[in-house]
Amino acid sequence: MTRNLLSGICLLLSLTAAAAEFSPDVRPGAGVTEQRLLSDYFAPLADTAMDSEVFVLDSGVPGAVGLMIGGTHGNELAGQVAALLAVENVTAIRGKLVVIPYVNRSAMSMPDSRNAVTRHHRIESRSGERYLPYGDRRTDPADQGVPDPGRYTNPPGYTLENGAESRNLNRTYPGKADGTPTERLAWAVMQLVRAEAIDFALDMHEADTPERKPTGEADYRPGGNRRLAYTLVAHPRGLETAAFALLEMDADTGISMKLEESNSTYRGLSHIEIGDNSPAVSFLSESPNPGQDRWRDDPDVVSDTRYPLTHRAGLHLRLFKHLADAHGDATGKRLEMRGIPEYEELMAGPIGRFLN
Amino acid sequence: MKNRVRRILLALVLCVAVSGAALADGVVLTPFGQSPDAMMVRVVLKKLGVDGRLDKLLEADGLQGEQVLITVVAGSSKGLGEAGIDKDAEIARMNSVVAAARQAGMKTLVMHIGGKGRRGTLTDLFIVEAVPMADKLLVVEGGDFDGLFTRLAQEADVEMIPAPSVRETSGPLEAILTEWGVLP
Ligand SMILES: [Zn+2]
Repeated sequence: MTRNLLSGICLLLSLTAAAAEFSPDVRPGAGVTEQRLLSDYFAPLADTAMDSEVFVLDSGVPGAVGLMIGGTHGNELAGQVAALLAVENVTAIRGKLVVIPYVNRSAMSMPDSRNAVTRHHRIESRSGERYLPYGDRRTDPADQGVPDPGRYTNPPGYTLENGAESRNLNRTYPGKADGTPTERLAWAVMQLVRAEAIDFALDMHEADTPERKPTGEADYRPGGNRRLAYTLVAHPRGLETAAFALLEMDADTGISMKLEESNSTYRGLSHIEIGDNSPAVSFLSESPNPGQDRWRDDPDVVSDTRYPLTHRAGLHLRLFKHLADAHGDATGKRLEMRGIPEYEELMAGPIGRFLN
Repeated sequence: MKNRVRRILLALVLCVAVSGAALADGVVLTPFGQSPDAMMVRVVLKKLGVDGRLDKLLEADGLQGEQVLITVVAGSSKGLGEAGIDKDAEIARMNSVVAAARQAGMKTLVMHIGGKGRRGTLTDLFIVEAVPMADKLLVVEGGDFDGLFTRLAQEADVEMIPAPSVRETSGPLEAILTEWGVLP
């Protein structure tokens, strides 16, 4: 009896200690030919909060293999939604598209700790009411299982002063098979990149908007050149492809983005490590998310008038298409897709019109 | 006999000169401030059919008989760090490259394509050095939001050509390279 009571208490305790599980709501379109899990590429992830769904859109025609990564950071909605737009609308007609909409599922299980943005955002989809989840930047400490170190030295040996960065997926590349759960997650992504023979990869992010709290002062700050939004970071091998894609982006969407090259001394980020540890050419895009502006009281991450989700998710999606085309022009290996919403169409909105 | 040898020699010299000219692709590019913006310009040129050679750390002795030097000004502390040089070394490099280009009879085009986003203390420092080096100046909208380029161009008596976007530098570039003999 006492034993039963004790084990009951233990069970209860373990349940409360366990992280809230996040089950992504992805509604695959006809173009999805196979659904997999990251644990298919790295078995130790199976049955853990770090495992995540992978969607394969295979044309069956030889060509390039592209990878779209959303949800590296749970509080960066547009990359996740760009991935959903691909999974729910696109069909590959040459080559293969691999999509991970919520790569850090654990981070999605946490509420946004930076700006306390609402957890679920209601939209009207093709099939009615639907909610887009909004998570946190890093892995849930409960899923990480070990306390944050004082300082974090990542797999490539780069040391970050903030130990919590050990739970930031985009500081743990190229991962470590016997590392922390977040390092294993990065390792699983690398295993996928190698197993699927990915030719090019885009890791989709968001940053704070170029706007500052309206105070009437001019928003020009000499030396304030640190704006991340509207940036495409390219691995050195992909710099020229990125430049071509950005010119096409401008022509197609009117969005002019800044080109940056991976910094080979700041290790652990996807754009440098995927490119350095596999034959894939890697890129990272940043859109402007009002939800990441600390000065906003009640940011609307879906329908903000200047930075609506249609604009931000459209940016990543169209950019991916132009990277695919530019990569094809450069290598002769093409990924061709049908069903990608045009940018104008997307901007006419609302976003739910493009989701199942 | 002597005449014949002379004629053969002359033909040889001509051949070398012609093939030399064909090898020189007309344009060499280098960043001023080590930002990747020079790659954007290289791609705009490529679309015009000009295969500009991009050398991030072009030195005076690295000119290969090109007709035009294009330098794209934008300061990147990250880029300078990667290259292992500081701002003074970058300015010295550009001074010597431009002097050598002038001596070789080349034209120098200075470009700024990053708009307002690529302005800041470091970039402004390079801009002040770059504008007087230019035979022409091509600036994408926003880059001159405070009139810095206009003022420097007036002081140095350099023609400044505006462009609405990076993509739309294509038209002015085509016109400039035609005027300077790179494009027919
Ligand atoms: Zn991010």
